[in-house]
Amino acid sequence: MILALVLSCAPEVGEPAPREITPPPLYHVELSAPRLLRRMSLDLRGRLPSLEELDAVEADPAALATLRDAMLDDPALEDRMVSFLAERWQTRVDEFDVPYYDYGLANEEEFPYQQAIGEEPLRLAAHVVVNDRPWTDIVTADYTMANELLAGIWPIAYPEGASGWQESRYTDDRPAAGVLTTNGLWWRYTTNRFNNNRTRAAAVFRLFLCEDFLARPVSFSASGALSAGTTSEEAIRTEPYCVACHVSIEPVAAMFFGFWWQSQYSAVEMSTYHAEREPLGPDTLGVEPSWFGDPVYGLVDLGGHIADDPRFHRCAAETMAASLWRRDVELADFDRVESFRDAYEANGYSIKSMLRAITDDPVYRADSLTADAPSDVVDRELPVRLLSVDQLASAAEDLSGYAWTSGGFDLLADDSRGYRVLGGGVNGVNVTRPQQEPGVTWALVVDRLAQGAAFTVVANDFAEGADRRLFQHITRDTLPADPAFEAELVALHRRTLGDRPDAAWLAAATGLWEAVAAESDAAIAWGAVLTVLLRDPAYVSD
Amino acid sequence: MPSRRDLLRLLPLPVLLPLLSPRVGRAAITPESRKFLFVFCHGGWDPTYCFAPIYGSDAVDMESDSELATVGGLQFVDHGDRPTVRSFFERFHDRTCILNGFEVPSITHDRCMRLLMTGRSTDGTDDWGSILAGNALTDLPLPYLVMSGPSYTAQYTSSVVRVGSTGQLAQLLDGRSITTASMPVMLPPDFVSERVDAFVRERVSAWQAAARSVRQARVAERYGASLDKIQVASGYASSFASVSSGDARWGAFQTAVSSLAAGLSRCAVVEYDGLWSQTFDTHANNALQSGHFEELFQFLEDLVDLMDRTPGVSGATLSDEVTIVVCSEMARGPKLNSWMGKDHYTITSAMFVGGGVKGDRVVGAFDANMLGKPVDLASGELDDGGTALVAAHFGATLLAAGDVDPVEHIGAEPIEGIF
Repeated sequence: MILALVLSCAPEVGEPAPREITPPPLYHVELSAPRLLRRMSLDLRGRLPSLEELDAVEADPAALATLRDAMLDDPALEDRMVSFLAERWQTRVDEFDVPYYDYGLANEEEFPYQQAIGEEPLRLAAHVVVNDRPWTDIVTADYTMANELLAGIWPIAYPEGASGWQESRYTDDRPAAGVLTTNGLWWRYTTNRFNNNRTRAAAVFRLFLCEDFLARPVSFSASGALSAGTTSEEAIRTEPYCVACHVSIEPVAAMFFGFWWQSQYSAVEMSTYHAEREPLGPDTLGVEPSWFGDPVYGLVDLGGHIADDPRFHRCAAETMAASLWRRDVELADFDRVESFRDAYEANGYSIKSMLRAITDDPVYRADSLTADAPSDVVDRELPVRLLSVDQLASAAEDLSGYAWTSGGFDLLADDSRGYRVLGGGVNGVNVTRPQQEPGVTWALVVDRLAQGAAFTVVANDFAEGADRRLFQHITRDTLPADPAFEAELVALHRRTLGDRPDAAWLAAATGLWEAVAAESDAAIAWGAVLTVLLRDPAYVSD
Repeated sequence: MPSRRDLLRLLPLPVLLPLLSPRVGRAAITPESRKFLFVFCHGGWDPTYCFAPIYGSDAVDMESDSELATVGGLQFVDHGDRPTVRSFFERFHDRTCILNGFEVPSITHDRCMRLLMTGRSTDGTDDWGSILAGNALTDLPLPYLVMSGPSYTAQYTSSVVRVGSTGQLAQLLDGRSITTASMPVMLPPDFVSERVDAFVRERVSAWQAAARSVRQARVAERYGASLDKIQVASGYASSFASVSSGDARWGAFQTAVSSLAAGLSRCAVVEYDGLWSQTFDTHANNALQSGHFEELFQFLEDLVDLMDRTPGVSGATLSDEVTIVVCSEMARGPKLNSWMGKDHYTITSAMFVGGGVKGDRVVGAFDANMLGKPVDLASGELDDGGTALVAAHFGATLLAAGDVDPVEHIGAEPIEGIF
């Protein structure tokens, strides 16, 4: 935010002069290659690296770059982009004004319904990234992204015979301006007859310019704006204190009246775009649509103005850096973030190029800080980051096949029945930043997820004739004296934590296995060993 | 013989409460041992329905048929439709203080909630409950129990324990979270869990000892502390299940009281979302505020009665050691709009009840335009040359009441005269 404000105040006259960026002093000590591979894999694919990939970087750390580039081309990047952006755009909420049953959907479709609506704009943005299209497409694309469920409830033409998230088009003659014309975004940032789309204008500024108008103080005491019986509508137009912000908000709010609904709780009203209501904007708000003074002719033109705004591109760099650093971008990061933007602009507004630049940067690759790091650097940097609740879920599922669901709900992606916020996630309403330190409920979620994953994969892999998923070396009869026993421990350690175990860990894990096996059986003992790995501090962080 | 804490742990609340001794008198509680129960009223209440009797002003639309009432040192808005509001003040005025005319400087719900509870509008700050709980004298298992309502943490994340809207904390504690999931997993035998827990603790300790950064040491320290707290909290799993049964809202109050009484928590927050869960956000039909306040005060009256019957940890009763903080993220504007509702407004009220509160007192005031009057922070008296109150003063007052330096945390001075 600080960065955005500073940037927004910078003069923009003519062609910018070439920047001479002086890198700030570095205090970052780089992660080992296997741990860095693990961090990249979890960030870009949401899963742990394979043993073969670990072997490759152990043999030659330079292999990291090749593997990272492969991750950027992995389809799993789409889900990761959705997760990153969900934390910033906060559209994955548990409840919308129209419930699933108003569309005649069955109970088991409740979660897919809420998930699909919240993800519509996120999927569009992620689709742009995965296909390495210009980031400007998110506000200019002539399509949306839909799955079968959305295509079944909204006026959307969905590719015949397809499944999952696909490029699709609304059929209600709405203008096409990327996420700006998606139902999903405006169902989350809804409005009413009192707010008149101002919330939506504020959302546009926050999401696409990183300028948070709502963080600015509003004081009726200081302004006396509502004294002597003045109404708030009058004050917005006449009171200088209010006009200072509303002069920017109202002309943007005026463009969203095609999404202005007669009833806030009507599926019929909210499913379709109402082009006939577009003129209500200027009438209601008393202003013509514009973008910071430039006249704008509809939402398609708005998308073009946003895409041409330098702040949009700076915001993209800030958003991606914050997502991968797991912390806010601060003023001290100015030059670094600018360098990410340079890489992105030089490659046609390519977010993939930006991700390459960020993952090549010492801040991202840090394991720790040097002893002489000044206190402001120590306070700012997070060389050890907790995995997000999304990463915990996807890594566990990939490793073990365990999906923590109930009644159709993904329990780590929901709070009405699940544990998303308790596990450190964001609900998009009153928890808007991921948890950065362990807490009681976070540790409980980690514990139960570890149990679920560990004992699920043990049950699978120890079944007669099973196609093994994780355990590769041992059988039920393998004992600690067998070479296969230690080989399995080493493999499990590397697969979960990225690096090789030391002798002390091997001894302790063997001791645990023996103690448990003595009172139960080998399967439970291996479940216990895997559980401790999935709760290890080096597992739950990167 | 089991200790009082053992008794509290072993018995479910409905069994426990009748056994608790009656209130025997008010005991002095030191600030460092004071506890706080936040009752957050969602939607932005209209102070002119309760706390702000601004009669005789053309600039303020007061409720018709309402009138000014005085009980002890308190003045409030009285109406025949709200008998419980009146009875509450009649019964508890001597331990109730109203704060009028402080500003929450935003006009959106999300930001106002954040401002009210943290003093700031941006991410990355802790709310009052987290700070107070994080600075508790002893290392409590559930320092800040979030039953429902807003919760903001940054530095004190490990102090915050969210119960979940449908009893998720209990499900995690007793294991139903995985045994009843779509892919059900049997819980390992207890001896396995104990060995696994011990192993993980050792690993966390070793990781902390070998930390290569301040950050790593901090993560490890918080992880270890969380594991310790889980061990204690496991004994209370059934208490947390109450929020998912029957009248969830009263269940939430009961569970919060149970946790405070057992010495598990220093702070708790419960959201009250209005009659029929319609919230206080009355852009249309502002008269709905009346029903919201009446039901709110029914809850509050029952809550104080319950706390009066419940022994405290260091005071005679829980009422002696817990301050109930009743607040809402914003107010409604002075004038009715064309829908007979009132729009968002920044200058509001709060109410403090119970432990340590100087009762029979109204601090601050609204003027005839419903603007806040300045206050001398050192005395809490109105003072034309004083300070215009904002949410940061509200929070600073709570922090100071809990023996936490407010200047260090938010750079604001407390209002003297409330505690």
